[in-house]
Amino acid sequence: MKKMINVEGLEKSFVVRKNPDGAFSSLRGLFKPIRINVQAVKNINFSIQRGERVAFIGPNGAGKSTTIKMLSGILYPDAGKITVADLVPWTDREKLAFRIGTVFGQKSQLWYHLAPKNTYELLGKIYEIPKNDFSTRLNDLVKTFEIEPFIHQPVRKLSLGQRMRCELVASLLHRPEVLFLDEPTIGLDVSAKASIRDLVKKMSEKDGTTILLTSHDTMDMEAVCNRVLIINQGELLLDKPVNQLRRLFLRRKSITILSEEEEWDLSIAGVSITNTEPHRKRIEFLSDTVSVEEVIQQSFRASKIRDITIEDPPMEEVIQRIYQEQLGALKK
Amino acid sequence: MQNTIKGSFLFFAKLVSLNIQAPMALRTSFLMQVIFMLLNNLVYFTVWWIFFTRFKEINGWGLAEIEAMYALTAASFGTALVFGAGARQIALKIVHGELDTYLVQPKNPLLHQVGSLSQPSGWGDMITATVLLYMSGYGTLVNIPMLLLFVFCGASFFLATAIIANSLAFWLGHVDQLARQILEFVITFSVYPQNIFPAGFKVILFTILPAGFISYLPIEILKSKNYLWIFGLVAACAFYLALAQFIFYRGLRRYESGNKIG
Repeated sequence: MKKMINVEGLEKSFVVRKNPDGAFSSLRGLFKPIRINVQAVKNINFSIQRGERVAFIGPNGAGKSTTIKMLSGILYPDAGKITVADLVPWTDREKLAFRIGTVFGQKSQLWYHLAPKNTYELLGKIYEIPKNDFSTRLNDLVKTFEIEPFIHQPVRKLSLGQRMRCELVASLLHRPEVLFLDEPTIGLDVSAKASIRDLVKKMSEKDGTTILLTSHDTMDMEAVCNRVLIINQGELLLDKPVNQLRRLFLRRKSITILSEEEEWDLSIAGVSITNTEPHRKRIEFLSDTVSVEEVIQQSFRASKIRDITIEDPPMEEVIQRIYQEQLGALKK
Repeated sequence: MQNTIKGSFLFFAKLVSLNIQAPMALRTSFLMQVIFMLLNNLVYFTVWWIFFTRFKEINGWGLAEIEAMYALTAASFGTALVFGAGARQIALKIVHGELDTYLVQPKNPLLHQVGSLSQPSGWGDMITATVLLYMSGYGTLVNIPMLLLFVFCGASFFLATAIIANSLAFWLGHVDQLARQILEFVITFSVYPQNIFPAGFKVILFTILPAGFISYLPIEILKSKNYLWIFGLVAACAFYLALAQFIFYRGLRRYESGNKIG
């Protein structure tokens, strides 16, 4: 498979002016400012194949957005090599712009007082899309993203979820080969988030678009991506398929059982009952001390089960654990 | 897909058309801004009308020349505001890291930023200019092509000044107030006949603050009918625009983008 993104030895630092405490120190700082060097990205290496959907996960200030901005040609790196669609982003910025799409969750590319349709027409000119091709593509996207009811309404009157769907249409009009999504679900309610995730995945599968997504919401990663890169303090901690990440760090299991009996007992070493209501029990345990099979078998013996749900821990918990592990051990 | 000259022209035409449509979407606010700018200009100009009831001329300049000078400044500034008010926001966009949207698109980011905003009050300036030009007697049919060229050049000088002053933010950070003051200086000095200033100061008005090119030189050309000066004016206009573009792109290398997101 062809490499769509290749990153080798990427480094980026920023010079930040430190504000001293106190009025006198601040005055002195006017003439003799204190500057500190902040290393935002440290020797990052990875590659992404065409059509892959990769999540870039990390806490605030981890270096996710800085990396995406270097990949899209916005920032110059201090050291290292990047190619995106065989182009170097900061030297071939204009050429690359025809081949990538971007959605910045907090920076709109839609004109606030005008309807999304107006922005799409401008984008048609920006990307020099032939008229017929533009109409066909727009109609297709309007249907897929279901934006027909509000495509003629001013952006200022749209809900955040509607606006985000319009943003995605804007970023896909020119059929980008790579789509960079920076916090695409930020601020959205649960159903709007689910809808955006489904649409992004559907479009990527349909057009073979490579996706690099940053998010604080690990559900975005689980619903859209097949691979995850975890970054912290500018360093890449982990590069694994999403399902493998779950398997590797998934020790805590939770089982919810609905039973015919109102009350029943379950006593297994290492298993704790975290919630009990009439006809309903929630059980938690570590899968390396007790097997799921054993817990279910014991439960079947102790009660007449109507329904059973086995859940993995939330991805936040998984990532939290990775941060806590020794970095050296994780990199192996 | 790639950038073509025709494509770039169509992009700019569309940008200008959207640029003008956007503020008109809020009709009341749009009309209020136009009307108040018109009134503001006419109230300001009352001082000159009163002045010329007592004095006949200033160094060879009468009321007609002052009206034409004020009209050219208003038309130039109005044009700059209607078609390129985004130039005045460059410093804030740099500081807040908001040039990203234009940098990931394949068209000229400076042109895109400049054309990203239209200020309705600019229409008020243009109406003021039309009224004053008519009153001055300089707004004749013969003069119209030349006046349009002067307005184009004047708007370019305003835009170039705004771009240069705002681009200082790449090096100095928060300069939006400073940039606003520099632009105010240029406006202020372009509504006074510059033959009242000493020679040394005139040099500044034809270099650092290009106010002399906006209204004084054009009126001198119209008065003296020395049309060769038009080439000098156009050359200076091209120089300032090129300088503005050069400084913006030099600064862009230092652009650090915003950190609003993770």
